[in-house]
Amino acid sequence: MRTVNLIMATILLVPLFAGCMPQPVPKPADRVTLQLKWVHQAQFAGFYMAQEKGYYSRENLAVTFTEGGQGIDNIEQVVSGKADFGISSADSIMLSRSEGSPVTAVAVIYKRSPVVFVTLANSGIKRPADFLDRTAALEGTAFVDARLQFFSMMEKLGLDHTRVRTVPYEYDYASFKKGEIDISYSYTTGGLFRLLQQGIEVNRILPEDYGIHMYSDTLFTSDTLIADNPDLVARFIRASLKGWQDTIGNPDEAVRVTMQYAREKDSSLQSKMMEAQLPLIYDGEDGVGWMRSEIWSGMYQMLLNQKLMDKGFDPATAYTMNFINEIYGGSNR
Amino acid sequence: MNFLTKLTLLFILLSIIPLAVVGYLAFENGRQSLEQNTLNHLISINILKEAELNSWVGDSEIMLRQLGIRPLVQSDADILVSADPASPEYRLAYENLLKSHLAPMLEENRFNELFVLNPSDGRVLICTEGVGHEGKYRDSEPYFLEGKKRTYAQNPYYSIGPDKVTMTVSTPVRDRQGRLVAVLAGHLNLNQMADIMLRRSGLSASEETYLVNKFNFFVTDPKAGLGVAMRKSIHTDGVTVALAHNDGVGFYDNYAGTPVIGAYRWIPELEMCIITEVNQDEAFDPIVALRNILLAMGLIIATLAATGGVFFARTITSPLLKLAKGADVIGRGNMDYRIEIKSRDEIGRLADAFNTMTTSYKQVENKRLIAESQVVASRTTLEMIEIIPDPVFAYDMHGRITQFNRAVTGLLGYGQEIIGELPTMLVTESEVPRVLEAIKEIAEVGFLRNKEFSLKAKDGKHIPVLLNAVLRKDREGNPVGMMAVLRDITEIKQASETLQESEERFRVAAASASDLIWEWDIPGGRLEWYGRIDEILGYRPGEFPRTIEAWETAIHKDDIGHINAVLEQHLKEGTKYEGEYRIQRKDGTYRYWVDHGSALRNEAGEPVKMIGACSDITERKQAEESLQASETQYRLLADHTNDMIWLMDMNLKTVYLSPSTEKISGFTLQERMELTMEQSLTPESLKLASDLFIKELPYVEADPDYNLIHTLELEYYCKDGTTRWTEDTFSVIRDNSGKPAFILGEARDITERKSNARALAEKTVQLERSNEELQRFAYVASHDLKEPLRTISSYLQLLERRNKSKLDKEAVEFIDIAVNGASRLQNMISGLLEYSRVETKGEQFEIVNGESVIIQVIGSLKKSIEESKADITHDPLPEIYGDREQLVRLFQNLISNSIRYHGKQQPRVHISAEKKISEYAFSIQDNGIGIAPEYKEQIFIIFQRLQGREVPGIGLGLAVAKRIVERHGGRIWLESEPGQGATFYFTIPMKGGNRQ
Repeated sequence: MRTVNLIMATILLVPLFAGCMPQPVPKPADRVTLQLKWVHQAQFAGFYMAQEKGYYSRENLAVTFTEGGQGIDNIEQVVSGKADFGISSADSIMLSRSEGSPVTAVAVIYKRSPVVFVTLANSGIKRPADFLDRTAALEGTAFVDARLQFFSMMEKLGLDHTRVRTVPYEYDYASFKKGEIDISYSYTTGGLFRLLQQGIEVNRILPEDYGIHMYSDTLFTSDTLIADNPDLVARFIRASLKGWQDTIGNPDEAVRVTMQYAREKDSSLQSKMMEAQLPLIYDGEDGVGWMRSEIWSGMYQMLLNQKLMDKGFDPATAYTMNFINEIYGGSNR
Repeated sequence: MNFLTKLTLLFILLSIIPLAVVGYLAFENGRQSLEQNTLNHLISINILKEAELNSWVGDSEIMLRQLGIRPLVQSDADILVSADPASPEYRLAYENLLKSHLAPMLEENRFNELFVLNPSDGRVLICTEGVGHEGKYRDSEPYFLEGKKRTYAQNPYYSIGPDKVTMTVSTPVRDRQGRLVAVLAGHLNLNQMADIMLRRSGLSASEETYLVNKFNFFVTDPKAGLGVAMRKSIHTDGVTVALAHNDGVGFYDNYAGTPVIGAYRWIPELEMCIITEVNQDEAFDPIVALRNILLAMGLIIATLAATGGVFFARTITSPLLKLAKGADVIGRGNMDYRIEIKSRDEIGRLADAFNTMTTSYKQVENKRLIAESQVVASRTTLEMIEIIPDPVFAYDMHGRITQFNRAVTGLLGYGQEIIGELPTMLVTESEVPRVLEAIKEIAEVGFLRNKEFSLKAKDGKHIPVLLNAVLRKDREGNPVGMMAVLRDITEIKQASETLQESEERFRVAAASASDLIWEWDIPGGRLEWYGRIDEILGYRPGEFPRTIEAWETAIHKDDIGHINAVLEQHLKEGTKYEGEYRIQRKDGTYRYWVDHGSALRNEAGEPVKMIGACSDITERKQAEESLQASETQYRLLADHTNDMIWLMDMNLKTVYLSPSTEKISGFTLQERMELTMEQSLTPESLKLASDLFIKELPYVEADPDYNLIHTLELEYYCKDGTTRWTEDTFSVIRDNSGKPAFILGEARDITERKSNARALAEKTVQLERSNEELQRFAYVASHDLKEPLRTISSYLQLLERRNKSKLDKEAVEFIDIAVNGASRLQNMISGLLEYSRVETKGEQFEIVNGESVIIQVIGSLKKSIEESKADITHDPLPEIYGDREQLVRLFQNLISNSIRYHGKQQPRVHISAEKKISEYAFSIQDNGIGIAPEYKEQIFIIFQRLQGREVPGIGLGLAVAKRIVERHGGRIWLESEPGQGATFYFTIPMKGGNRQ
C-alpha cells in the first residue's frame, strides 16, 4: 500500500516539479526566407510539404516563402540578403556567378530541363534537322534557358541556327496553333499540357535527346550564409529534400498541400504540373537533389560556347556538393 | 456460495482449464506453423522470382550480345558509323540492318525498341522506332557509356521521351580486330518483368510481389494497373530494411496501410529489392477459423459442464434441501413428518437415521405426555377441591366423607367432625332416602347431575343446593370413590322467571368458550347458528341450511342414532345434552364435534327453545388416533427387539426398559428398573458412563441443538452374577421447548464378540511371541553355529595337511568325508540364516521394475545359463511393489531351480505375469523333470529335497522363495506332472494390497 502511495505521489508530483525545474531555454527558430522562382504552384510542392509536415520546424527553422514573378531577380534577392535561399535555373546561377554574384547552388530540384520544342503533329517537323528555314518562338527576357538549349542543340547537331527565324514566344500559342509559327518553345510542366488540353497534337523535340543536359530549378544560397552558418544551410536543405522526397513518394498528397498555397486554385492544373515535373525531379538514377559535376561542366561549356559568359571561371565554384554529400552520406541515393 | 454454485463452477473450471490450455497450445502451435509456412512460402516466392528476373535479364543480355556479334551486324554498323548517310552503301546497310537483324528481334516482344549508337558521340544511328528517333544523342546514358565496354543492363529508370519506366540493355559491336564499331542497345519490354512479378503463386488472393528500387520507388506495380511504377515511392518497414541490403521477413503495414506478412530480398545485381506480401488477415484466416472452432467448443463444453455441474449438484443439494426442510418441519413439532429420500447414499442413510430418530422421539414424547397427564390428573383431584369456590365433597365407595373443601365449612359451618360420616347426616330426615338413592345412582350410572337437595347447616339452617356428582376411578377404571359439587341456589331460586331465561343463555354461551353457538326454535324447526358455521363446514356464507333437518342430515350415520337419543332424553327428561359426533362437510370429509346444550321450557315444562354450543375437536381426535397407532408400533418394536432399549430421565433414573432386558440380564423388568447405574454396571463401565454424562450433560443442557450421540461398550451385571457386554448408543430426547427430557439408550449384546476378540488377541500375541522367538533362535543359532563349524573344518584340513604322510589312505578319505560334511552343514546354516533373514532383515518396500529384476537375475545366473545352454524367455513384466533384493532372490531361486532340474533336455524357462484384481500372478514355466503331485507342498519346506545328491543344492531355494512371497503377502504354488515340466506360480499384491 505504501509503495502504491509512493508511486501515486511520484506520478502526481513529478510534472509539478518538472514545471518548476530550470529548463534549457529553447533556441528561437531561425528565420529563413525562400525566394521562389515563380508564383505559388506545384513547382514548389516539395517546400510546401517540408513546411506542412513540420520538417522545417523540426530543424528549428521558421521558413517564409516569397513569390517570384515578372521583374523579380531571384539571385539579386539572395545576394542582397532579402532572401536566404532562392530557386533559379542552374544556368542563371552559373551566369550570375560568372558575373561575380556570390551565390552557390546547393541542390538541384529539376534534374532535367522542362524545356521542350513543340511542332504541330502534322507539320512533319520531328527533329532538329527539320528546324532549318522555319520560324521558332523563342524570344523573351525570361527564356534564356530555352534559347541556350536551342542553340546549343543546333550547334551540337552541326545545324546552322541562323537558318531558323526566331520570333517572340506567345503564351497562348495562337500563331503556333494557326501554323504561322512552326516551332514553339514550351515547358513540359506548363505550356505543353495547356496545348494538349486543347486537343492539339504536337511533336515533342527534347534537347535532352540531343545531348543537351541541363539542370533547371536549382536551390541556391549566398556564399555568406554558407560561410557564416553552414549548419542552417544544411538544415534547410535536409528539410527541403525530405519535403521533395515526400512529394514524389506521394504526389497526390503533395498536390493537396500545394492547393493551400497555389495562386491558381485549379487542382487538376496543379496535378498535371505535378505529374509533368516528377520525371524531372526523380530520374531513377540519382537521389532527389543530387548533382553531377559533368552536367555542371556541360552547362558551363554550353554557356561559354554560346558566348553568354564574358569571361571564364571555375565552374566548380558555382555549386557545392558539401551539403548533399553530408545529407546522403556520400552516395547518390 | 452454495453447493450448486460451487459444483457448477468447479465443473466449468475443470472442463475449461484443460480446454483452454490445450486450445491455446493447439492454437499457438497452429498459428506458428501456419506463420512459418507462410513465411517460407513468401521467401521461396522471392527467391524464385528473383531467379526468374535475373534469368530474364540475363537472357536479354545474351540475345543482344549474340545479335551484336553477327558479322553482318558488325559490318552494317560500321558502314552506318563511317559512311556518308547519302551514299547507296549506307542505305543498303541501313535497310539490311533494320529489316534483317533488328526488326526480327522485336517479334519476340522482349525488346520494345532496338537501336544502334555511334560509339564516338552516342548518336542514334538507326532505331526500330523510326527515323524520328534517329539522330538523338544518348551520350550521357549509362547504357551508352557502359555499353561501349561490355554487355550491360541499365536498371529501370524513368525515360522522359516515352514517359515511362525503361530498362535498357546494351552491348558493344566490334569488328574482327576487336575495334569498337558501335553500341547496340535495346529497351526491354518491362511488361514481361511486370508479368513475372504479377504472376501469382496461388498462395492467396492478396499475394503481391513487386520490385522497389534503391530510391524507394516502385519498379513494378504491386497490382496490375495501379500505375505507381516509378511514380510513387514506398517507405514500408520491409522496403526500408531491404534497401539496407538485407533479406528477411516481417509483419508490417504495406503501402496501402494493410497489415501484411512480407518477405523482402535485396537483389544486388539490379539494385532493387523484391517484396512479396500477403494480408495478415488472409494468411491467418485458417487459424482464425480454428480459433473460432476452439471457442465454440469451449462454449459448448462449458455449457455441458455447467449443466452437468448443476445436475450433479442437484442430486446432492435437493436431498440436502429436503433434509433441511424435513428437519425444519419436524423441528416445528410435526413428528409425523417423514423425510422422503430414496437414494441409498450417505444422505439417504442420514435421512433414514433422522426419520428413525423422529419416530423414537415421538414415541418417547408421547409416553412422557401420558405420564405427565396422569400425574397432573391425580394432583388435580386433590388440589382442585381446594381451588373450586363451590363446596365439594369427596366420598369413598361407601359414601363416607373423606374430604371436603373450605367452601363446605363456609356454607354449612361444619369442620373435621364430618370426616368419615355419611352424607345423610347433612340433610333433613325426609331427604335421607333421596340421598341414599343418589349414592346408589352415582355408583351405578357414574354421575349425578343437578339434583336439588336441601341441606341442614350446622346452625340448623336449611340451604337449597344443586348437586352434581361423579364416580372417581383409578387408572385401571375401578371405582374408588365419589365426588360431589354443591351449589347454593338460594338466590337462584328466588330469581324471577324472566331473568332465568337470559341467565341460562348467557351461561351456556360463556361456558362454551368459543366455536359455535346454536339456538333451536323447537316448534318452528329453525336452527340458528352463531359463529362461522358455513366456513367450518366448507359452505359459502349462509349456504348451510338453518334447519334442524340439515343438521341431522350432516351427521355421520353411525353417530346420528346416539346423539338423537341423548337429545331426546334431554328434551323429555332434562338429562344433560352432551355428545360427540362426526359432521359432514360440503366436500364429504368429516369433522369431529362435541356438542352440548340445554333446553328452555315454558311453564308447562315443555321445551320451546334449546341453546347449545359445538366445539370442533377434529385435530385432537386425529392426534389421539395417530398417537395410539404409533405407540402401538413402538411398543411392538421395543418389546420384540433383541437389543435392550432403555429410557432414563434426566436424573438418570430408568423409566423404561424393553422386555428383551429380561432375556439378557436375567432380571425381571421390575427388578432391573429399580437398580441404579452403580448397581447394574461394573466399576469400569460405570466410570465410562459417568464420565460421559459428566462431560456431556452440561452441553446437552446448555445447547438445545446439541445431541449426545455416543456409543460406549459397557459391562452389565446379570442376575446370576455373571456380566454381559453391551454396546450402548446414547441419545438425548428433548421436549418441544428444546429442554432435554430423556436419555434414550440402545444396548446391543456384544458379549460373544468381545470374548472372541479377546481370545483372538491373546492368540495373536502368543503367536507373535513364539514366532519372534523362533526367528531369533534361528538367526542366533545359525550365526553362532557357523563359527565352531568353521573351526572343525579348518582343523580337520590342518590335520590332514600336517599328517598327510603319516595317514593312510582310508584316514584321508574319512577326513575328506568329515570336511565335506562340515562344509555341507556350513551351507545349510548359511541357508538357514538367509531363510531367517527374509523376515528379520527385509528392506522397505518400493516400486521395483520387474524387467530390471529379471535382467539382474539373468546376469547373476549367467554362468549356469551358459553351462546348461538354458533358454530363458519372459513376457513384459510389470512394476512390483516389494523388496527389490528379495524379489531378485525370489526369481533367481525359482529360475535356477528350473534350470537345475532340467533332465535330459536343453532347459527352457519362460516367465510371465498376469494382472489380477489386486495382485500380479507370476509364473515360471520349465520343461524339466517335473514334480509328482504328492510333493507339491513338501518342496517348499526347508531342507527338503526330492532329488538325491546328484543334483547340487541343500533344498533351501524354494523355502526361501516361499518365505519371500509370504513376506510380500502373496501365495506360491506349483503345477506339475513328473516328466512334463513344472510351473511355479506366485502372486504379489499391488501397492496398497500389501501387508508389511
